[in-house]
Amino acid sequence: MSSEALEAARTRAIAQARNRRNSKTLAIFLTAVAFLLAWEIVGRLSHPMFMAPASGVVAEFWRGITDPRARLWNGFLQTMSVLVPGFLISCALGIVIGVLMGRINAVYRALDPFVTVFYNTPRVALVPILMLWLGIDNTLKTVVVILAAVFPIIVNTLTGVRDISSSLTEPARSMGANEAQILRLVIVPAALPFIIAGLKLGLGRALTTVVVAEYFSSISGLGGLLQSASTSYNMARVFVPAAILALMGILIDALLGWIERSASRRYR
Amino acid sequence: MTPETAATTEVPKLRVENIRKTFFRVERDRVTAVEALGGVSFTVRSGEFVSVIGPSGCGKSTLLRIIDGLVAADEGGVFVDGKKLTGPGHDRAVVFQYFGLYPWRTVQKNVEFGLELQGVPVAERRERARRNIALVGLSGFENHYPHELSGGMKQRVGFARALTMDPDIILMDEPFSAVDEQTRELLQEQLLDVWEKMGKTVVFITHSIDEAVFLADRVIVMGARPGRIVETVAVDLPRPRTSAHRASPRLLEIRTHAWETLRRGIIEAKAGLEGVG
Repeated sequence: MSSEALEAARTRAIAQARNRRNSKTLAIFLTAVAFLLAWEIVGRLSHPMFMAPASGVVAEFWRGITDPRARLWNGFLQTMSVLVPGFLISCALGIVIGVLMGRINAVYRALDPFVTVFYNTPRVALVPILMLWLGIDNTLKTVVVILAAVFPIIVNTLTGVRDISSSLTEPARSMGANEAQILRLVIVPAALPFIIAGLKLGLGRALTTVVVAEYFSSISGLGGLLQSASTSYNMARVFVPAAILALMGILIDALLGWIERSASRRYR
Repeated sequence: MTPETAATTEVPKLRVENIRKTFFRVERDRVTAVEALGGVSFTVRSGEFVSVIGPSGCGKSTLLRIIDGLVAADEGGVFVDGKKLTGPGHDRAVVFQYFGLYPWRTVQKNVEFGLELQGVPVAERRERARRNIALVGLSGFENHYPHELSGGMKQRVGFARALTMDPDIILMDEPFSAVDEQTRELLQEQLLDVWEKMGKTVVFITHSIDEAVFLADRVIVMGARPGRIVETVAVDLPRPRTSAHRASPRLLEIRTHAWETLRRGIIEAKAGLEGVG
């Protein structure tokens, strides 16, 4: 191929890729505009007790972050103060228990029935019982978050660790690795894609559950704001914490997705 | 290299003595016993290249794992320089059929792995790994990941990793069976080249008679059910060997003899099976 023809083909390939990207962006933009427009129209036509227009939600959001009496910032911080420690404890517990269950058969046999039961129980069902035992403060919410997030992390870690074939552990053993070295240098890196997928699942569940717990106890966090706004039928105010939660979910998912991709790049 | 005359009086580098291994499979209340190795003994001199061939299921891979210490024998012992072994050690290194590389580690980090386990300082292990990567002809690929390499290149990484451990004995488990024919011949010649330079003792498991004869000083021919040594064939071809030796009449003669021995082993095993059945 001549160098001009090659250059032309290269230019075409770049242009095609750019077109694909642009049309995707355009599609997202158009559906977003259509959605907001429909929301605005439905909101304006509806009774304010049932629906608020998009512009009303934006105005309420602005009031929420500028007016300290709205307690929005406060609510966000309260939610984070449960979510962050709860999720971090879930990560530590989930990975440790998952690895132990994956490596030691006795531990697996002892814990597997409990993990199966809890993994399949809706955590929301436990909230009223736990409220009775733990009260309605942050301890309750943190425990509920851990109960929600830890099981998918355990199950995924366990699956990843059990999935590791002897073709990964045998060379390390042959080179004289001890059990701790095998764990740190072979098992954990090999199971990492599974572990990260588990963290993603766990985080989604933690986010849902913290809001539900706040909703039940109805005095703090974004869930509390959601509950008090909905009981006073202030629809614009209901949408604000909901939108923040949606944004948090998207951001966290994007962050974990990025971690997952940069880790899995090495596993092909 | 050790002169032939001295070999008989000195302690062999590797001595395998009456190794027996039986695997049991338990299915509900039925227990099936498979006698993988039924008393295998041989010795290998320091710096010698020994090939082991045999039909599939003759326990040759199990034998290699027992020598490395990955699998425990039911009976018998493995001795290096006269000392009985109890598990894996730095005096032996394995090159695996399935390469055994870590996909999340670069070539450099894979080759360093054994030294990292031993706690060798970073600068030293980097240097030793780099030297062996160069020796197997992979300079410039230090920062590549295994998935970016061909099968032949992966196995050269596996070989460099074994060399970096600086073992006395290199155990190779059908190392070239997963690569294509042309690559295999090149890898064989490269292996001989490195072996001539380093003077390591090699035990090379293969199911290819041509490969076994071309590479080795002696070929141990095994039979199956139970795995045992049928005969040991000496390969009196000159060294260093090159691709020109592949077609030499003497090699073909030895190859034919080895093949007949192997076939006898297979036929005997079949007859034994029918006798049992």
